[in-house]
Amino acid sequence: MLRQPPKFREALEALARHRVDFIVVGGVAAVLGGAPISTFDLDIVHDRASANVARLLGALADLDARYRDLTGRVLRPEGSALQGEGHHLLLTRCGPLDVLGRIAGGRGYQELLPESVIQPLGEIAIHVLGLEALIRSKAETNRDKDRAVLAILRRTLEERGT
Amino acid sequence: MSSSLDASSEMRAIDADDGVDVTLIRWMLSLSPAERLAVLQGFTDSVLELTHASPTTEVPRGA
Repeated sequence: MLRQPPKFREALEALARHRVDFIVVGGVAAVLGGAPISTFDLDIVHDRASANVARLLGALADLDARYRDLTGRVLRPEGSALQGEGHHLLLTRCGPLDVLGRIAGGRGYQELLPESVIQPLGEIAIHVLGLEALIRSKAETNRDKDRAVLAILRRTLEERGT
Repeated sequence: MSSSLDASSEMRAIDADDGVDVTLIRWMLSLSPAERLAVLQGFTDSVLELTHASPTTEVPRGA
């Protein structure tokens, strides 16, 4: 049971308000790209430069972020960890937020930026990983949950081109 | 008659190879990014609302 229901737009607005450099990946990126799939968490790849990590920490504090911990401990993300390549699976007041140093294929923010598109969302505009790169990433990961949506992503890409 | 028409329509909407509903994709592509995010938000809100409204009940053994 999710104690903090997802509020995707509010989470994205908090990150934008703190001027965090990030790229939306995963299910929300697929939806923004036009794929009819569902997800309950927001996945982002952040720029791991120290200045950006400082801004990210500010956003995460604003969002009351802590690690999703099955034992109930309250563990807060720290700057030194966020400068690494690992995955930080957080729960915020806007629902689950996965902050990823790198994704499949070892690609981080700088490598993914050319493959992202800027999507307007009302008052803000955010970088979102393009469908082509998203498909490649999910194909490389090759997990059951990724394979399940690959057909939808590929067909969405085809339909966009027609 | 109408059921065969419905079935034919469904076959056109859903690809025979991968089972993907193309009509849903075209509908999503007709929306703006903000509207697509609102669709996702509406879906998650609905699921969580239903989850809270319908707590799991035990099915008696032998039922």
